[in-house]
This record gives sequence, C-alpha cells and structure tokens, in this order.
Amino acid sequence: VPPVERILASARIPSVERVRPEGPGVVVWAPLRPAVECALHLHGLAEFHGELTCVSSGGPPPSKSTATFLAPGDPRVSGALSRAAAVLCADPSDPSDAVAFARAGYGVVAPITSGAHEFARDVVAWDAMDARFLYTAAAVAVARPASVLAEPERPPRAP
Amino acid sequence: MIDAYGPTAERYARGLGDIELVITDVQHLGNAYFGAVQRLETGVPFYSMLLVDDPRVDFGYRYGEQIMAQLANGETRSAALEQLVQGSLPVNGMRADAVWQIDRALEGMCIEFLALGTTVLIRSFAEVARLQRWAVSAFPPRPLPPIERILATASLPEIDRVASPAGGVVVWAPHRPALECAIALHGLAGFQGELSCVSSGGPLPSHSAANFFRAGEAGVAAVLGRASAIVCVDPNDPSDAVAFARLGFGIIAPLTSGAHEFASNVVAWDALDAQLLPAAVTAAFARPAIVRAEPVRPLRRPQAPPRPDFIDEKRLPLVSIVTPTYNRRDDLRKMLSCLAAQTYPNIEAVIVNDGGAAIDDIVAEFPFARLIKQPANAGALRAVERGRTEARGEYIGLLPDDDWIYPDHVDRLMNAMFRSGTLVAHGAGLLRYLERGDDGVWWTYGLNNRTFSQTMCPTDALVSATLGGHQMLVHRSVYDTVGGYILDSDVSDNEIHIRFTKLYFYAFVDQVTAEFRDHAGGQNRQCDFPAALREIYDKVHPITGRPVISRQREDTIAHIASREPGQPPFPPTLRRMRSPGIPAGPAAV
Repeated sequence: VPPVERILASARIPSVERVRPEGPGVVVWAPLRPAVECALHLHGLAEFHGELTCVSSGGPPPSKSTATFLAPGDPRVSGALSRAAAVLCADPSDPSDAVAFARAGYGVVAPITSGAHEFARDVVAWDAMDARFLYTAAAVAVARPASVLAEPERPPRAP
Repeated sequence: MIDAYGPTAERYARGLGDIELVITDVQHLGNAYFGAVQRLETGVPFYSMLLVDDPRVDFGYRYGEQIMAQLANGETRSAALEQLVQGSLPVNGMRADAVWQIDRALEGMCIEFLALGTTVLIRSFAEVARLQRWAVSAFPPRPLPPIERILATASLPEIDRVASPAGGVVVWAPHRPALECAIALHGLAGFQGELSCVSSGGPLPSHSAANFFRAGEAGVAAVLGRASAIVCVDPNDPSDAVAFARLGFGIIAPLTSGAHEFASNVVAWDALDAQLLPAAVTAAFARPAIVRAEPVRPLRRPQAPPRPDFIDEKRLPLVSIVTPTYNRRDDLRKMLSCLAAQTYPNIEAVIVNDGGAAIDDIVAEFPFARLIKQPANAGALRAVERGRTEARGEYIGLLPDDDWIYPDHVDRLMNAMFRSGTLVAHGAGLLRYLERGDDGVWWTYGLNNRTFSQTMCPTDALVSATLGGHQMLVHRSVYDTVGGYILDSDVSDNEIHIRFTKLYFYAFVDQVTAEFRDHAGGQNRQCDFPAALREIYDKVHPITGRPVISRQREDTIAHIASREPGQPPFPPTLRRMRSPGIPAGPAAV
C-alpha cells in the first residue's frame, strides 16, 4: 500500500441555533443521495415516535415512510435541525458531515465504513445495511452527544 | 488508578500513565468483569480495555514454526504459508480460518465487559471492526460503546543511529518468543544485509540465519543503531512502531496493529504474508516513517455528556423515586443510601411502607425521604401506585427496596431527556445473582450485563420487555396519558411498555446505571410468568394479522415454561464458584 494520509472535507451542513426540543427529533442526512436510497434507514425508524425528517437530493420518496422529505436548500431543514437531538448520516464513505454534526454536539449515527468514529467521540457506529439496529442506534444517539476532542491534522499542501 | 488483570495487561498498563481503567487479558476476563462491577458502585467513571489478539495473526504466529518445520524446503514452506494467508491451510481436517474463530459466547462476554466502562479504550481503530462484529453478533445486538484510542509508552533502548552502508533490518518482538517470529524470518530468508531478531527468548526458529537477541540484552541498542528498517511483529499494539517512527526508521508493521494511523509512511503488512516482506523492506528502506502530530491522549477519566446549555442549573425539575417496602429494613437503608449518593441535586424519595414493621427511624435519617403508610399489606403494585399518585416530582422513577441505582443514574437519564425531548429515558441494567453463604453473608455468584441492556420498539414490547421499572425515569404526563401499572399481574412491568411504546420513544443511556439483585427469596423466582403472559397476550393486548409476533409470543411462553422452577428468570451470563480463598484480584498499576 502506498503511503496514506487522511483528509477531511469541509462539511455542507447549515449553521443553526439549537433549541430545547419539545419532543424527540431525528434527521436522516443524505443531501447528496436520492430519497429512495434512504429506504433502509427509514424502514429501520418506521416505529419512531417523534419528528422524523429526511434530507435528500430529491426524487420519489421511499414507500411506507411517514418522514418529512426535504431538499438541502429547503428553509425547513434549519428548523428540523434546530430541534433534532440526533442525526443519522447516511453516507457510507465520507465522514465529513458526521464530524461537523459532532462538532455541533448532535448525537450522531454513522456507518462504520465512513470512519466518522475515528474523528469524533461517541459516534454510534452502525452497519449501514443493518436496518433492524437503527432504532436502537437512534435511541442511544439522542442521549449521547458526540464531540470532536481535537481537530484532525490536515495533510501538508504537498506530500 | 489502573486495575490490571493478567500479565499482558499488567505490562501494557505500565505504559499508560495515570488513568481510571480496568484492563484485562482475555484469559482473565471473568475476574475483570467482577472487578469492573465493583468499580461501577463507586460512581467514578472508568475506561475498560480488553487485550485480545487478532485471532488470525495470533494463530499464524503460534503455529507458523510448527507448520514450516514439517516441510522439507523453502518452496513447500512458502506454499503452506500462502494457504495460511488465504485461510485454506488444512489443520486437523479443518480449514485454518475455521480454527481461528473465537467462540460466540466469548465474543458476547467481551462486549458485556467492555460496556461496563463509560468508554472503551482501544489500541488503534484497526480494532473497531472486530469490536463491531462482536457487538452486532451478540444477542441481543447492541451498539458499540463509546471508544477512544490510547497509545502506550514504548520501551525502546537508547539508540544512537549510525550510517550503515549494508542496511540492517531488525525483526522486533520484545514481548514474544523467538518462535513466533518464524513467519517474518522465513519471509526475510533471502535478505542480504544484517538481519537481527529481538524477542523475549526461547528456542529459535529453524532455517533462519538471523542474529537472535533477547530484549534488554547488550548489543540490542547497537543493532538498532545500524538498522535502516524495523519489522514490528506485534499484531495489535502500535506503540513500539510509532516510537521507531519518531526516530525516523523505516517501519513495517502489521495492518492489524494500526501503526499507520499514527505515523505516515509506515509500510502496512499482512503479518502472515511472508512473501510480501522483501518488497516491504525495500520500500521501508526508502521511506522513513514520520509522526507528524502526536495523538490526542484520553482524559484521566471518561466524561459523561454535560448538561445541555439551555438547562438552568438552578431550576432543575424535581425527580420522585417511589419505593414500596415490606419488612426489609437493612435493604431499605442501603437503597436510600443509593439515592443519597445521586449526583442529581433535586430528588425526593417516596417510601411506601406496605403494611410492614415500622421504618420511621430509617426514613428519618434521609431528609429527602417521605414516608407513606399503607394500612395493611396490599402488594407491591398497589404500594407503587399509591406512591406514584402522591409523588410531587415532574419526573418519576421506581426503585424496589432491594435493588440499587448507581450515583449517576438520575443525572444521566435526566440529561438524556433534557437533550432529546423524550418523556421516557432508561439506562442499562446489570443483573447480580446473590446467594447467602454458610456464614450468612451474601456473595455474588453471577452477573449479566446483557438481558436488561437493550431498548425496545413497540413491536418488541408486544412480545416481551426486558426493561425493569427502576432502569427508567418517566415524565408524569406519560402516566397521566397512559395510566399506571395494572394490578394483580406478575408481568405488569412488561405490560406497561406495550402502552408506553405505542406513544413514546425512549432515550437509551447505554451505560449500566441500575442493578437488579436476584436471590432465592426474590419475588421474581416465585411468579407464574407463563400464565401471566398468557393473560396479557390473550386478553389485555390481543393481536391479529401479525403471524410473526403471534409465533414469537408462543415461543416466549414455551421458553419460559421450560425453565426450572425456582431458578432465576434470566440466567447469569457469567458465573463463578465460591472458593475458600479470596478471588484473584487485580494488580493495581
């Protein structure tokens, strides 16, 4: 394997002022993926009682979901994020958004393949295909805010 | 303070500095589990750490020499090692990859132990995939606990590096017998420069022309000084590899060690793949490793999540803990001591004397406690309901007089509800199994951090609930909406979750904050659970059109009915025999 280094991209999450939630809220965060690719996540949260929002790039929503589907630029996204206790990051490879949510103190559920747990403490790591586990992961994440103890070292401008 | 169980843990702990930690070798897991439970009672957060070798590499290291010693020449040895890398090498009629799996029961036990700590320490993120597999394959599956990395202090000799035109390589295994370096040395059999091996000693591998040294022996520092590259053999601990990287050596380290996470330019290597080593050494000669930024060290003790900013510390809501009690004076005093130790500042205890002997003197010892007297013994559920209706708190919890909660129980659950907006929160519950010894003293013969360490969704609740009343705190509006416990049922604490989960999502603090104390005189040993469940399934919450749930209900009743009468409803996952001596304790490091 050639020499390797990690790099974390700038995140694309909106800046919101968080308020004390009046009920449980979870946001499924997939701004670069079509809504139908969130089908497993939403199936795993089918019995969730609370405000369930799915932020995706659009397209037809998965069947049988009662979530509110929003596009990334929708003004209602900020409201949902301000009330949410946990964010379920759908991206299986890029941890940057999950780390940004951890920096903001959300409970974060992220696929173990994303490596978000390498940058942030208390991320609830999850096998992205294991929908049956998501309900538990969300129940843990709403009570377990993630944090970034130290920002990851950026590689030099050139190796 | 560090409690270390087992020789490897003791050695490893010495490089970790001052930290609140329970660390164990996998062979000493049972004692460490009991030790961690003792720590839980103190309420001081601690880290848990388990030193378990990667089973595949461990197998190869242990048996590599044995495999190669049976084979006549270099080609056949290489072919055997190739099969070992693929896992297809025949071993006693089985494939090697079937032999090196550790058993499922042990995996589950590892996760149970690790989840006792507030945070799990790992040596590198390379271990996470293994932990995740254990957590998910455990029954029930549970989330991985919070994890952090820690890097031990390496114990390298003072090295004075000198120019060496021939280029030397050191196979570095100071804590392993020389025989466990056989695969690495086979891979370097054709190496033309100075080849040395530093091990803990013992018989030497066959067919190797290396110079062998024992760790600490004179000459090791000089050999290291002339070396250009180090082959670090340890498959799990990156600390020595990182220390060599700090000195600018070329480093070859097993991928499973995670050394590449800390240092750039490490040549990561599959520790069983001897064929790859010559190329790895060539690359390492030209590629000195660098540690660009030292890794962040964990805090001295793990931290629970802080109170959210939007909560006014001076106006925290009152939490009422309701306790039914009947003729258990000593247990009651201990239980009240648990409440007195709570870190949450605004608690009232509502003690309902269910027609038993006077307890006024005990209750008077605890200023936050209030006594309510039932005129006659009417059963625990009626006492609970009486206490609940008289509770003044905005949030209500239950605590039987013979069970315990740990000092951070109320605080952590309240924080979870503040943060999430949920009206119900619960922690994980530890089952402790007690027997009275011949001397009349209770002793713990079993533990279980599995059965009551899960949350439940509405569908789970329809079948069975493994969530006890005192694991939870509930906003009083939930009772106002849904009602209280049904009376005269042995499974009323199961039933209430069917109604709760229909409307409410539970926040789950995945830490042990409560303890159930199971003993032969306990009420749960005397109940007719199958009949009680049948009543709930058929009359109170019948379901139609859900064949899977119906079948699970029947399976649950059949399973419970098959239990031996008088035995605990849920068996211990870890048992120990009572020995005349004191059980092996930890080494305090």
